[in-house]
Amino acid sequence: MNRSASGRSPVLVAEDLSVSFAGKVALEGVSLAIPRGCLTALIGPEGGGKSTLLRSFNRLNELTPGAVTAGIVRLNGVDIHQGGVDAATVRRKVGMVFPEATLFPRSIFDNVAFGLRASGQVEELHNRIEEALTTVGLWSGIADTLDARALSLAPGDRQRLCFARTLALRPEVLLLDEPTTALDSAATARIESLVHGLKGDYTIVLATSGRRQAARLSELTAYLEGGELVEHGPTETIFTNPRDARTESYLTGRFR
Amino acid sequence: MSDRRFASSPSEAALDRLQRILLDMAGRAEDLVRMAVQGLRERDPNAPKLVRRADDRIDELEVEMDERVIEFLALQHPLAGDLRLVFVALKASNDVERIGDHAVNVAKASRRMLAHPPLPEVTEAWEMGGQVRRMLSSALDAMVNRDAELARRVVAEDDRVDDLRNSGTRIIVSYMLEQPRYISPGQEMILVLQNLERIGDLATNIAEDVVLLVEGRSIKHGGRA
Repeated sequence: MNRSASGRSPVLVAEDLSVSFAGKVALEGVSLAIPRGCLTALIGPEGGGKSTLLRSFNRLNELTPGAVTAGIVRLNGVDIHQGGVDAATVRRKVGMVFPEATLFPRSIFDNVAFGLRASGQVEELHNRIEEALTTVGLWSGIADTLDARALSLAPGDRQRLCFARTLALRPEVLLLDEPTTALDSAATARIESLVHGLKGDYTIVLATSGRRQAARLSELTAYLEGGELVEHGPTETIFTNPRDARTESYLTGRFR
Repeated sequence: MSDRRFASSPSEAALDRLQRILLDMAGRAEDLVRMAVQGLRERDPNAPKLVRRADDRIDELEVEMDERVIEFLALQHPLAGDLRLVFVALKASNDVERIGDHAVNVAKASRRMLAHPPLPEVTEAWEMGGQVRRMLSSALDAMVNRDAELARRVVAEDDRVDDLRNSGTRIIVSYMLEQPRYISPGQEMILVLQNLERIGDLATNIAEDVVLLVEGRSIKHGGRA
């Protein structure tokens, strides 16, 4: 079995993965293993391929017209693009939180219940919602107002609600796409604290343009630039002694 | 429209400043070692005072380095090579400051020796003085030029300093055994050799840190497995 940098068995593996949109290459020949129970950060400049790689892990790219994917992505050893693999099932196992809180103009309860209802998991609905809201630290504050409109929550709490909606489906992997980009520093700190608390229970892949956020939260870091995986390894190594001059330039903020 | 280019980023400018402070300190420490050893050799009664005064400026620069490093860490959040450079510059400035202190110790010993008859010449001391100054100078050159090979040569040269100290000490002890009047100046001269040896050790520390700076791995204590 392919072993990851951390020595743990990988949950997700990209093998020679390339993605293009309407002929424009966004990701080229990326091979990377995401180890179980680790937080792997994807860092790099805008347009480097972080989000495209993230969205490859749960087949979200195929929703974009003109997207072409080549190569293999395996989830627990199974090629997620092979016939008979249902994209919705993949997305349930590999949940995602987006840069901005994407809530429906419905109640708090309905928003968290959305994925469960859509996938027919309506047994113990209330318990699952309580569990998810407790995990994200919202339950005690809103247990009595679950019928309130989700959009009435503060921005940081809205994003935590999005985490709860994803966690309610009990995914194996959490993909976080710039989850704090729209938040102020206090709300960012609370989300980071939540993510830190989720580590170990979930396999997490975090795409972030916040270098410090990657350094604070991740065990492993992958640096992507121009659609290429430049290097990856333990976060402490990448941030103190990167091998590649491109990684060094990005981390020191010097672009020639 | 012409292509506008910036001379450097704020972090590069700040790192340049740190490096300049360190080079200033090291240049002064090198002078201090030279003055102390020359004052000893020439039995110059004014040298100790001059050495102490020059050391005060090194101490001031060390304080400035500490302040600049804290400021840099707080404002620039350095990573990768920048982070290693700050770490190494801070440690090296501490080493250079201690080199200044050891040069002052040499000067103090040479002042006390003026009260005693001169010892027969101990050429090892003069050779050690030249050797440790070259080591310090080369360690700083290696830092500026990011030259790990030169840094490794500095580390290797420390064995020669240790050998000189051992043979010098044996010679001084033989003088002391032969002539009781050499006992007091002999003890002072042994102290001088010890201080010069420590200066060699500190220059070696700096050189080892240069390897960390350039290659990102420590070679101290044989390096980690």
